[in-house]
Amino acid sequence: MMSSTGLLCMLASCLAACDATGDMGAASAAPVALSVEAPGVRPELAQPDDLSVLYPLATSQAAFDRGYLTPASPGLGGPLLPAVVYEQAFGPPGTLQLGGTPAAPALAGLRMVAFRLDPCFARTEAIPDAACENQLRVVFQTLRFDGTQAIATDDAVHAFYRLRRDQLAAAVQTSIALRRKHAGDQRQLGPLAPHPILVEQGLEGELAAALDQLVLHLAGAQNLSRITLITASGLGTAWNFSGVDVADGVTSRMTIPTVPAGTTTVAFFAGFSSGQLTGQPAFTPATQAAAIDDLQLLGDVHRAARASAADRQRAYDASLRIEDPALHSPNTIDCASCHLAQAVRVMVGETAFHLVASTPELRGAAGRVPAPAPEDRDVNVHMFGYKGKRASIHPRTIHEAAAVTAYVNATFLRS
Amino acid sequence: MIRASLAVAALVAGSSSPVRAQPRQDAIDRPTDTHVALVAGLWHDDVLKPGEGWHRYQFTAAETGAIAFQMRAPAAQADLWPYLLIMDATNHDRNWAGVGNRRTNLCEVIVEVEAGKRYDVIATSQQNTVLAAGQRQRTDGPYTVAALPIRLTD
Repeated sequence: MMSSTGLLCMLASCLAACDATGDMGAASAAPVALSVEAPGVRPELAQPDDLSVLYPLATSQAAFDRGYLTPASPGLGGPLLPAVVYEQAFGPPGTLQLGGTPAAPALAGLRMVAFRLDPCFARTEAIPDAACENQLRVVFQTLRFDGTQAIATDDAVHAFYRLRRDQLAAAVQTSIALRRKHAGDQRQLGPLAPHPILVEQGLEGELAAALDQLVLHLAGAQNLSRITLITASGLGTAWNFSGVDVADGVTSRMTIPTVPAGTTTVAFFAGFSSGQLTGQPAFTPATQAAAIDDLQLLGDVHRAARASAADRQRAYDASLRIEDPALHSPNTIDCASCHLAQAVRVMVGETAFHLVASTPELRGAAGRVPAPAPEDRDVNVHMFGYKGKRASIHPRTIHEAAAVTAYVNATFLRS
Repeated sequence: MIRASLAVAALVAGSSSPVRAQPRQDAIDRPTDTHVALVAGLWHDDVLKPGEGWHRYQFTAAETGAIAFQMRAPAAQADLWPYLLIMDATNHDRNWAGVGNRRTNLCEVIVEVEAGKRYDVIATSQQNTVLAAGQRQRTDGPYTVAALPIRLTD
């Protein structure tokens, strides 16, 4: 039976999601419309953009040069992402990874494009605060400036930093205070998107500088706990996921759930047919998850066509379950299934077979997230970052942000 | 007189252009070893360049079964056609494939592999259609290669 706290989180997440305008344009790189001031907003409570911050892409060389934190930025106890730890994990610069997959992205090209505060990382059930893993997650991507705008390469490095509960609580309060200072007490930032105030002020504005200092105050070599990679190969048709845990500056290969023991890399191959998923095999290695949580049939439209309607439906429902943070976390599902859930659900489940959720609960979860724009109906593994010039925010991230916001507002911000 | 002749010969020889050593070109029987071990299901990207037009990879089969060795060069480079040579490192049995579809520039060769055996995967991308007599094939450009486990019956 779900605890009262868990029920409160569910209700709060529903309310938070219902507040979303459903405008997918907010998840694009197009200018973000200013939110409408809503009377009765409780300014002291957290909003999703307070806790999950996506920086805009720079539109000037100066902003590109000075507006982003880098792995070398001085954080807690040392650089945000120390080169010595990075090389211990992935080898000297240029070292190919398993099977000749690409080398880890060069540190010099990485820029922090997002960060997320999480009070209870990878937990799907209500648990005592003392048992929660409080965390700051930083998303780095390789960026370049093309003369008019920053462009993100199809890669990512995620850095995870362990926090104490009091540190996270203080960070939440700081973020809320910054929003109130720069946007007033009645401003509702709207659905998760490139942070509206950062977009308005630019990367060289006061808020960006303050948020950068917040990150550097919280994170660094001292509390770095995990590094994960996304690289692209197959001439842009395959994506490779791997990672390491870090303890006291020493790295060890991260355990990836639902794949054979000892697996250090999981990958997805989309095939060479543009706009379709035809890779054979699509997922490497195949998941060992229970059928109810196995979406991988939808990774190949031809394989899905040969399967039964029941199996296709089960895989489709699995994609929705994987996108639900109340059901799955990085501790229960492999990286590739999570990052590809949107692509397989939309490109194969919905486009090829017109599938919809089979239960009211899953229909409710699916309905709270707007359908991706046509230009987003392609493989995009970036759950909170950028693909090229377009902001990318996956449904799971939207759900997570809503759940985290509700949890924070119901626990240490409760008046 | 002979000494003077030798001196003149040496002077003449020294005044001519020095012979430049030609860069050693690899070849089908002398491919460039990439030192990359392919792993089933994972794609490796590489770049061929003149002089290094034959790239060799190693693949050790973890299981007995069929492997589809695939290589693809960008379809936009329609004049460079990919070729794959799979050679059993034990008995030197060879399996060849050339590009089957010039619109996709993808080639594939399916080999029944045995668990534990090592195979050399030799990839090249060549322009062969417009060679003049004695002209060397041109190899140049990016490509991707993989060893994909497949089931021949479904």
